[in-house]
Amino acid sequence: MRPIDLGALETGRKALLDRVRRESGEDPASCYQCGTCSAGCPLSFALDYQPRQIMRLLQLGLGDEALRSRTIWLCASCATCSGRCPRGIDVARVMDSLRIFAGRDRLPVKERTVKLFNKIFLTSVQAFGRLHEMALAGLFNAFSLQPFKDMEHVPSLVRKGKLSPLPHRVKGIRQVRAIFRRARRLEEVK
Amino acid sequence: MKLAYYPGCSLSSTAREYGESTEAVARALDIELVQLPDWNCCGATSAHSTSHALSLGLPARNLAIAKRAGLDLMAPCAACYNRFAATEHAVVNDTHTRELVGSLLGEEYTGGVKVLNLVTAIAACGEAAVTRRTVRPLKGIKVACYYGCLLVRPQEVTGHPDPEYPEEMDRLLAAAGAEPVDWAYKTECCGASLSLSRTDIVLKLSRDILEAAREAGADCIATACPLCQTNLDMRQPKALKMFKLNYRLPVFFFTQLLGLGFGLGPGELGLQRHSVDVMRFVRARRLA
Amino acid sequence: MRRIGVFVCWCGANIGGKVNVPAVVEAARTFPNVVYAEDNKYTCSEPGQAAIRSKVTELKLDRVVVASCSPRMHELTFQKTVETVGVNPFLFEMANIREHCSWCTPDKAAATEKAIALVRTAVAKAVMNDPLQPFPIPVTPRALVIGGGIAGIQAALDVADTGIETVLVERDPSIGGVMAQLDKTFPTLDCSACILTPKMVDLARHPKVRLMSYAEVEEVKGFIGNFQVKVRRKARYVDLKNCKGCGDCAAVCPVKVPSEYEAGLGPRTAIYRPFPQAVPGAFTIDKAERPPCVRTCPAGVNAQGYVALVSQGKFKEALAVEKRQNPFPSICGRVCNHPCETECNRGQVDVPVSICAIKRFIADTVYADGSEEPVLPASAKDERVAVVGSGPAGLACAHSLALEGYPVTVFEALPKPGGMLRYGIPEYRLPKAVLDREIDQVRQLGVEIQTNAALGKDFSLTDLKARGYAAVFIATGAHKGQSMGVPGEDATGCVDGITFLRDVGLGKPMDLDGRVVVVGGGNTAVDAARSALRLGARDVIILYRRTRAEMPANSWEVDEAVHEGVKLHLLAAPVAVTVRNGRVAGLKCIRMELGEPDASGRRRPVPIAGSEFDLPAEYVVTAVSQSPDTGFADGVLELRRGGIIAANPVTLQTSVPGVFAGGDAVKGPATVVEAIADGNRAANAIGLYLRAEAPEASAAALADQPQTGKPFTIPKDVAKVPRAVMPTLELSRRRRNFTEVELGLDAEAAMAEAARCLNCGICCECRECERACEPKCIDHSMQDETETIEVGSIIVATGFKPMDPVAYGEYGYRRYPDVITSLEFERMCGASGPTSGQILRPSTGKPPHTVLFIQCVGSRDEGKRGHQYCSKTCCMYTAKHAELVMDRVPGATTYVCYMDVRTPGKGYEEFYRRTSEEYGARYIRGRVAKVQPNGDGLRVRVEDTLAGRPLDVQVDLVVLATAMEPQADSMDLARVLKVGYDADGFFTEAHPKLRPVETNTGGIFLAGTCQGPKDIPETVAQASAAAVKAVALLSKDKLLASPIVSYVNETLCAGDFFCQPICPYGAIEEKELAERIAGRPVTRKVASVNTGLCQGCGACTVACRSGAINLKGYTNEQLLAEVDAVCLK
Repeated sequence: MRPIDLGALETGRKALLDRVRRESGEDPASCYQCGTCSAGCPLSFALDYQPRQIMRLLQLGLGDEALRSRTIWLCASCATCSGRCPRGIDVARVMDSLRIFAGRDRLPVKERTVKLFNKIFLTSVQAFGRLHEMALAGLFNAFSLQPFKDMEHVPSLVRKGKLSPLPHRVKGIRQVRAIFRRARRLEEVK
Repeated sequence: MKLAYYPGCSLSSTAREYGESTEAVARALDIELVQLPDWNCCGATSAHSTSHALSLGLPARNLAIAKRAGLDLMAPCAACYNRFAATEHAVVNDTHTRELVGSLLGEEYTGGVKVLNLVTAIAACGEAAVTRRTVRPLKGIKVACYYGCLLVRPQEVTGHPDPEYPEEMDRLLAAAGAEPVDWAYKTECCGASLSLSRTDIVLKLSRDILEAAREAGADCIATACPLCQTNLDMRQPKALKMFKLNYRLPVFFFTQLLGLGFGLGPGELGLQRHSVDVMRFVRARRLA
Repeated sequence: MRRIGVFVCWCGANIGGKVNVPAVVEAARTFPNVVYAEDNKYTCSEPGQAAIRSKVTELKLDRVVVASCSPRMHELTFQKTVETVGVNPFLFEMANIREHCSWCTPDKAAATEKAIALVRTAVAKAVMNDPLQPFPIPVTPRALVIGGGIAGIQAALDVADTGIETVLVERDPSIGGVMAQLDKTFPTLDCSACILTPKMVDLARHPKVRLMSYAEVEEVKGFIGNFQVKVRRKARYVDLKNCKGCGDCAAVCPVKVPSEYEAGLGPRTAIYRPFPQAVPGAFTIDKAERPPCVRTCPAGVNAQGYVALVSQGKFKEALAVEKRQNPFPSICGRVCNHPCETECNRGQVDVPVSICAIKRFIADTVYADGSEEPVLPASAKDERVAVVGSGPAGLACAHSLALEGYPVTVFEALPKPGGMLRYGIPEYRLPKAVLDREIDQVRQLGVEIQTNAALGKDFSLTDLKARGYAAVFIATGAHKGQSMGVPGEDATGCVDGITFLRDVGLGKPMDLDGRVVVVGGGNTAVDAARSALRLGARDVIILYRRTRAEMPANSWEVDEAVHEGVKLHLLAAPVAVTVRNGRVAGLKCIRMELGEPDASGRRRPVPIAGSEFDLPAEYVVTAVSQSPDTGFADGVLELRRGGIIAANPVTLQTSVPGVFAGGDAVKGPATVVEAIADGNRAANAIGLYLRAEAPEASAAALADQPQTGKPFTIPKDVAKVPRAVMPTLELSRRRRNFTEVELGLDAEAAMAEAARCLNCGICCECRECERACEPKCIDHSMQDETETIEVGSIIVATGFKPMDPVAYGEYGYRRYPDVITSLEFERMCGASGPTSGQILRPSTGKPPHTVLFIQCVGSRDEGKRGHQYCSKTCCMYTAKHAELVMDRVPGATTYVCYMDVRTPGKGYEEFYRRTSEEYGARYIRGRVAKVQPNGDGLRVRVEDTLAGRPLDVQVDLVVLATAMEPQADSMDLARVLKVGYDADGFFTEAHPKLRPVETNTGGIFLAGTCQGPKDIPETVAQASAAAVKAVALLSKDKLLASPIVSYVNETLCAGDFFCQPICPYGAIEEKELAERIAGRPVTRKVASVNTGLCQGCGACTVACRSGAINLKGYTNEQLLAEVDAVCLK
């Protein structure tokens, strides 16, 4: 491995740390690398960086690596880490922030399906005010180019009356859409 | 007890039986559920993975409606519950969030709605009430109570006394005559919303949980979360097949088990809607 | 005009870095009265001090101002400096331009400006400073050491060795502290006991040491050199001097509780010695407040006592305990309504202990095998006592009077003694044989019982006096059945419950063929109903106007009745008895509904108009209520409503001296045990009366002594155990006969049931120890004593406690038996410990093959669950533990999960290296996330943060290195001592480097872990240091007290004494002032300051409205001068 010139990373380091602090109210710099989060993380087997390592990347100024990691997208937000962190860091919340930044900065995403899922999910909510699960599944399969995914479940789901073909639209849909609009506007400022 | 009832998106579709059993059990325990008028989706993981503001705004609209109705808000879905609790907590404890939420809703919301999940709501009736209402004790049912993540974590939001080893569901089912087992996976994660996007991961995590329950000597699992239930129930055959296991473990919503204890019919409790058949289990134990 | 010199310090770069020192000097030169100013690199250093000295002499400076660091740091230094050249130390003034200027702003200009202002201020004050003379105060040459751990022991020995008297106060029964619980000590691995126990003995033997064990400091008054300390010596219930420590008492104690010394791994008895080498070696009885069962029992029967004894199979001893307050255990064991069970703490765990069934078992068993030890009456007395009525009250009274040696005669109106026990309670609940047996026991004490002798009919109260009875106890009960007050009650077939039951009791032939309706909801009603069934009634109905919940009868009796086939007809009341040719034909009833609650708190039944209905019946028994029949008392004794006899509630004496009354005759219908309670109380009162000690005055003597002690808390990990089931006669065999229904527990069941008792009182006061103790040094009546001791200095050495790791749910402590704390592990290693030194898995009792140690449990944790600080000792003792495992369990593997290994101490690093390299303990850098059961062991999940790999480690035993915490009550003690403490509750030293063992309160010093986590070597060193400080203080015969005290300008003092309540040290006294106004002598009161007590806090100066009281060195004038100087630009 080529050695890293820490000095050169200094400005970027501060910038991202501050951004995380502002967005999440958490401070990755206070992590002392005990690894409780990684050891307890149910997803650790699937991660390219352990949560502890993500914190370390942020501390060192290699946050860009963190923002491009699979880890931030595979985090299931179970908050097991947050509950146990001896430094009182809400690690899951930091992961949230990194996902948000990665999305906002249009960085390449290794776990495209996860981002796609979120996108479709929210589109459905924005459209109807509630989630239409059938549409979610359908669209997801279409866009993730796996048309037959989970198809085996469909007949039984229909039989058991678990798939409602038609979406329900809330009356206050305008309010809901307004929330989406304002959220976007408010956060573009950041 | 009178509560604003937030079914959430799943309880009307993939988790219909949870909705049905919730209402049936509430009726049995004289809990009056008033469906929250014109509620909207809480945004779930997708919202807080995409936009912090959105993850507050969507729940806040429902909280505001509940406040107008002057009722505590009860969400049976653990995920919805967690979003509401988190939003309420942030609004109450952080002025910045309060302003943010205000500008998102276009109206002021300053908090003040008590957020409950179904387990705490029923626990509030008291175990005695459950026992009193039980006509067909769940004798000899060894159940692994699976709480998942969102009922208990993070502690400052849920205010749960012991997020590592919750026991309120165990106590409720014990009050109905069941025998909850001690097991270490009560609050392990099932992979939740990765269900569609990274099914492979969810299959592995579900397998771990099912195995743990089985090793602990459980003959069924009780959950209080639609996501967990789907992952453990609908994904179970594939999960077990993938790891060359060929047993089946019924995965109930805890309300369904309570309902059976209360002598309610399989229909009322949506028992026919499971992927992994539960009727044989129920009949074998003379509960229907 | 003053001559002031100003010396500004650079403090190297500390001040010089921010403050423009030369500029400050320049400015200083311009201030009025300043004749000289200069700067120094380090004013506190010798050159700096020399400069001050030379300038003072050279320029005849009369005041000196130094601008440097905090006065707390160097004021004393400079005061000494100026003193050496003849300037009074109090003419010296200090300006803090380091902490207050250079350290609190990045802005150099601002720092400099403020520095100048502060110097100006200091100069302004210096101008007003007056020379002050410290005045001498006496010193009490005695030291107090609080806490008897290794720190306290060392400090006490060091002080005492200099010949100074030392008092050591230890709250536990023995000194030794945590070190006494340790097995080996790092880094030398020498045995803890070998180091500690000789010191403990030295201390106990030391001629200059007074050891006050099992005592606590409650209050500290006074000041340096002169403290008055109030010490509470907790009742030990064992005479320290005479106890030989033989242990005979513990051998017979039936109570087992977890041993604190064994960290809960082993049990101890209620009378105990923490460990064999304890000092003092005497035993101690551990008492909590009186348990709920005893508190609730009207007769105060010691339930915990006999239950505990039964659990040990000591049945005859148990009977003796019962009989202390209750002569009728086998009766009460059957018919008591046992409120004790309702209150039993076990009910909060699962189900209350079946106390009543145990009680019955004891009596029945011991009577059966005739092993009861006879109780001998006291020497015979002359005064004869008459008891009227042979119910439970009368007989109980007769019984205890007889025991006291009084000749007693009991008069009974009915043919046989027993009252309601015989004629009210049917045989199937209380067999007559059982009754007779216990009545005979009363007779055997010499009590004479005359039957068919009714007061008011066969004899009168005056007759009794005439016959020479010195006192009378009236307990005639409540035998008059009340009628319903509805038409037709006089018809044949209609009878009241009391009469009905009496006839049954008298064995009058009755054949109830047909339907019986019993009206009422009390025990009488239920007894009547169940008797009617046995007398052949076709069916029996209980008619009650409220619901079952409101029935006053014992719920279990109602259950049995229903079980036997009695039908409950609730919410209905009779309006008339339907009579057909003189005989009952049925009841006309009306339905009821429940309205508002009435006086009794039960909801009042309200008739539903037009809901009348007919209830055909051949017999009607009306059991609505009963009342005393006290016709005999008319015009003789004062009566209350309902014919109840008026008696003093405590002494039970009636309006006529010497005549006492109790039981139902006074209370109205009540329970058996209440009657017995009255009987006992009456006997007691009569005794006092006859010994001419006025009973009214003796209320206190009659009130039972409260058991002192700490409140009891129910342990968290009590396993649920089902309650013993009382076997009963099967239904088929209950018809047409009165065979007893409840069959009683067998020995096995009774002992198992008794073992469910939580021992809420800890000591159960069975007094077995008393009997076992040969030197007779046990005294259960001991009380706490407080004593005030005078000392000149106090050393605080109260130590620490290990944290309870239960908050770390993911480690499963208490949930998984094989997860233990390091202290528990220590006890396991102890040769005298619960496993006599073997390291074993609690779950299997077998040695572990793999042991994993988790470091920093509760330490270095900023989450809500732990402490931020490092506990400092865990790294080393864990290394020690790892070695112990590998020494004692051949082939065992040990893992240590750590975050950093900290080995700052002589030989520590070497020790750690040996553990990891020679012993091969596997050190994993990572904090454990979860411990969970797996197979027959535990699976530990941890990330090896060096490899970046999550690991699963399968182990047999997990040891948690728990944090060191201050004692739970350290903050309370801090308030008592007026010493500071940090956020965690550790006591704070005056300065970490300059005054590390002093507190900010003069004369009080710190030693050991009460000041912060420490290992033993450090603790001992600090203890010796504290000792030296104390000795240095106590070896002076006088102390120079600071002259900075308040003084009163008597001409201004208005004598309104607002200053008095404000003063925390009680230093303000009143003084009579004689003066002449217009030639006339007058006296007025003014305040005067006791300079010995005044601590110079200045609170009084603020309270004084006339500004008469002032603080030397900080007078109002001086302060105002400073304010002006600051504001001046």
